[in-house]
Amino acid sequence: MSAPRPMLPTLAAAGLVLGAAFAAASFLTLGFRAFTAEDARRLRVAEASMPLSPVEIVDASGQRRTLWNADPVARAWLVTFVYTRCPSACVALGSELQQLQASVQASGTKGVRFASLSFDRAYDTPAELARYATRFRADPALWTVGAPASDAALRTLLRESGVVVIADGFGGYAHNAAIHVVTPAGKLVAIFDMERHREALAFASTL
Amino acid sequence: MNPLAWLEADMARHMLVEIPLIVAAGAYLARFAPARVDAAIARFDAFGLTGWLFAGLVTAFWMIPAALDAAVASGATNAVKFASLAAAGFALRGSLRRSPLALEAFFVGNFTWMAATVGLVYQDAETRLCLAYLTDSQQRAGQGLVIVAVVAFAAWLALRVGRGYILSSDSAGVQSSPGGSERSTAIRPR
Repeated sequence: MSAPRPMLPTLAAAGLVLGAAFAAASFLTLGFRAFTAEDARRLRVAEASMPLSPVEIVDASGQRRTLWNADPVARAWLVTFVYTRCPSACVALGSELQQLQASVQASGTKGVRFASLSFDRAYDTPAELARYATRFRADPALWTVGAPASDAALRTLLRESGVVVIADGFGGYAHNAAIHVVTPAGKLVAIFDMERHREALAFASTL
Repeated sequence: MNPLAWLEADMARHMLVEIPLIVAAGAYLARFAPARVDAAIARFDAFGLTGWLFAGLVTAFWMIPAALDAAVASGATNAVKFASLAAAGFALRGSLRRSPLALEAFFVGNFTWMAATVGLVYQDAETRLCLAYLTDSQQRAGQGLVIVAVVAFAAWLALRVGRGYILSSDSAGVQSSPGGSERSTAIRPR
């Protein structure tokens, strides 16, 4: 072919490809702001609260309760996802909630409740949950340690909150460890890094 | 465990085995595409520009940690991943016959630095970038991406040297390949 090839169709197609790729990447990264799924989850929650279904749990005393309105005075729940055998992240989460509980007790802040919810239903029986509660001196009036009452309830809770739990290959789990702020109406309104637990409490106290 | 779940259970296997295999499968399928399909594509793919651009963008997209997580979390997204990567391989095979050396060098070079950079970022990251993958798997994926970057560049170079496009000064090697004469008229001054 010796005639000059028309470039217009090619340029149009290349422009289309470029535009589609830009749109797809922008959609995925929420406008190029979040390149990991965890960052995207936090951004989404910060911008528009995420509704969580009511979840039935079994607490450390073996009682069944339904979150998020189990406590009439609660204005906000600070929720962490744990498994009680966890050697690292959950211990940090536990001691941070313990500090927060202490400051709530000292300052007399009303309406903030804590929940440590286990995703390891097979191992975390009420007895194990009670052991965990004792270890961090959880006051049952302020701090609920529990596990969803059924596998279906657990799956729904994890899916709705965007928490992903994977086996770590050593018999434990890896999971996005964070402090989730949930209103009594079941709206997940903010997610804080573990290190920012003070800010999480300050935020929850304003709700 | 089914083979796909096994491949996707590890970040390194997902990125370095599954994804290249899908691209290769797409390129292999392009062999069986009727000539009129290639002719229809060629109209929109002068100098292989569209195909190279498409392949470059698709491979870059699936290096984003959030994209890998989305593919693992949702079957629909995973289907999009398979389709887009296979299409990238398919397109690349046709574009390779039309593209001049300089254009190829641009896109291959681009892929090389990008994959290597992403690989280094994955190795350096102190936190897990994917919810679905552990840190050690992320480290291995990072190391592997650097290797893939180098191998891709070397493979392209070998392919071009093999066709006598870089080293030999006469155009015999080029003209014997399909589409070669078209390319030599369009690109090479006589």
